[in-house]
Amino acid sequence: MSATKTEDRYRAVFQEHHQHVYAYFRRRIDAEQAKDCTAETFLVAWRKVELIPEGDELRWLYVVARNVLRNAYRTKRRSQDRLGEPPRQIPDPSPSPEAMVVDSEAHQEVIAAMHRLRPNDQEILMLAVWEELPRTTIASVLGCSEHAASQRLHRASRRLAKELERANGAKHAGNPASLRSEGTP
Amino acid sequence: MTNTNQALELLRAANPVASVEALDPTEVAAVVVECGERVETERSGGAPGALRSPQRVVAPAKVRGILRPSAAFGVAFVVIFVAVVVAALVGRDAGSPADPVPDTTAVTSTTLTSTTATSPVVSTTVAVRTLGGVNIVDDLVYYSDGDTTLSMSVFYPSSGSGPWPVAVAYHTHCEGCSAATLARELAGRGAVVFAPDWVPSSETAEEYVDGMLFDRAACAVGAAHARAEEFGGDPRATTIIGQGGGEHPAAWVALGITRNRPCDEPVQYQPIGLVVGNPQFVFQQAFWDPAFADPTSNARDTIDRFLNVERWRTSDDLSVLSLATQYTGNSREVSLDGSDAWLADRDTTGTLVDDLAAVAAFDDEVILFEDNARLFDRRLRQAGVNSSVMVDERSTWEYTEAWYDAIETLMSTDP
Repeated sequence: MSATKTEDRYRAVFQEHHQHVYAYFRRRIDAEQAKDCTAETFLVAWRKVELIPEGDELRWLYVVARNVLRNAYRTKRRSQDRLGEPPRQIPDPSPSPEAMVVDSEAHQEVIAAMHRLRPNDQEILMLAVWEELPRTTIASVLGCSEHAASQRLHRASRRLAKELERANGAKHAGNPASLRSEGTP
Repeated sequence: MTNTNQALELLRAANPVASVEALDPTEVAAVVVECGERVETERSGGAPGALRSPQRVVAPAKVRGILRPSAAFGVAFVVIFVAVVVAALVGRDAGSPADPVPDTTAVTSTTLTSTTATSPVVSTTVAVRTLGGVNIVDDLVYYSDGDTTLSMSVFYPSSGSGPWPVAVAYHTHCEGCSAATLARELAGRGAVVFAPDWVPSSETAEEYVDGMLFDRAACAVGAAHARAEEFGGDPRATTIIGQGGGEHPAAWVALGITRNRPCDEPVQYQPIGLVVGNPQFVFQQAFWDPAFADPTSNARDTIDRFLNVERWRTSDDLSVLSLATQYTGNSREVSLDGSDAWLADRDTTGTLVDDLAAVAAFDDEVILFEDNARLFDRRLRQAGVNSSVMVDERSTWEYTEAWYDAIETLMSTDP
């Protein structure tokens, strides 16, 4: 590929997909880190532009982005281990200027339930539900077969449903008002 | 109660995408251009030149945090090279024939203690064959009514500790057939596999679609649940597998559509997996036509149970894998618009022809295993059941490594 064509190709990929990649990171980490990770992702794209498949650029970028994110978590975990704080993958449900806006009780409950899942379950649910990636792309990003991705997504969904049920059950058990309203003696 | 779909809808609604601010692309582009130019200059052997844009939004310190491309490439190359070498030395190429089973069969005896509904706390001494790392116990009776006695073999790992996932594998519809090959392969991968013999001698086509054959075969699942722990299996993780005609008893249990309950041992746990290989849910073969045309026959009720999602009672945990090859021996010609009388006889819901058309079953004017698999997949998805289809271009019945890998994944309770 000539230098001009390389640059044109890169620019086209960047123009079309930089917001998707940034949103991917932004759903998981704060704005400054997300910008750094987006830059790092597109640096890889710049170096390997001839390897980016035509018509399948976003899938390729997601694979790179995921690896960049894992590196970022590793770095953060090392520093947080020193500080004694657990790393977070998804937005903290307690409101703060830094965190994503979680604007209703139901949303807070489902985010809290997501926090209780294992990282692998969180990851695949975010890819399927928030990124809205098809199973073939999810399989590529995770490095597994489409069938395995389908299986894992199904089980992660089941676990999320159970976490929500458990939370609802605990909420009703601890609320005398709700027991009275349901007629429980 | 929150079901899976409700949970996913809640998660979708909580998507923080609405609050993700737009990225100023120049912030990212400036960094990339800066680093990219350094890469290009180094590649061409020159010294790093002046940067295109001196106004950098991102501080240079952040750029320096990224690995130098040449070093990163070198590390990546070494890692990939080593991985390829290791894989070549110890891995098996997916798709190649499985290694032949070593020709050593040891026969020992062991004492099993079982507690079943009909015989609490029984210790029996059984002969155990060992073949290629798999133990095999034969002749475990799972159904008997005086006239008919049906038994099964169990295959389980000869080393390692469980609890292993459990499978009940029904062979294709022929007397004397066996699911031993599949059972041995799965047991070797770490599973306890019960392989029932479910076809008694000389039943008629009408008796087959009547469904009693499937009701009796379903007893193998209850018996497997009762005895799984003796062999290191976890009955809560049961997958039911049916090859060819075996898909009928397999789906009969997994979809919760049994008609009668002639079994001594009840099915204790709903299965987490169903695998159907080369299925015939449409019962397309011509020798079944008289049964479907006969209003006094149970045939239409039987096919309705298989294809009418309203009659299914499935677990939320169920995942289904449908496998199909291009074998044409059980195929049947059909018209382009599906207006054949034999199809109408089988259409109990009024939607069979539409759904077959939706999966392009009529395009080649022949109903094949693949069409059955895609129809079943479509109905499963309509019912909210996790389903996938794998179609192989071969014209034979044998299972490939890819299929065994997929079954192993489905059976696994690992994330």
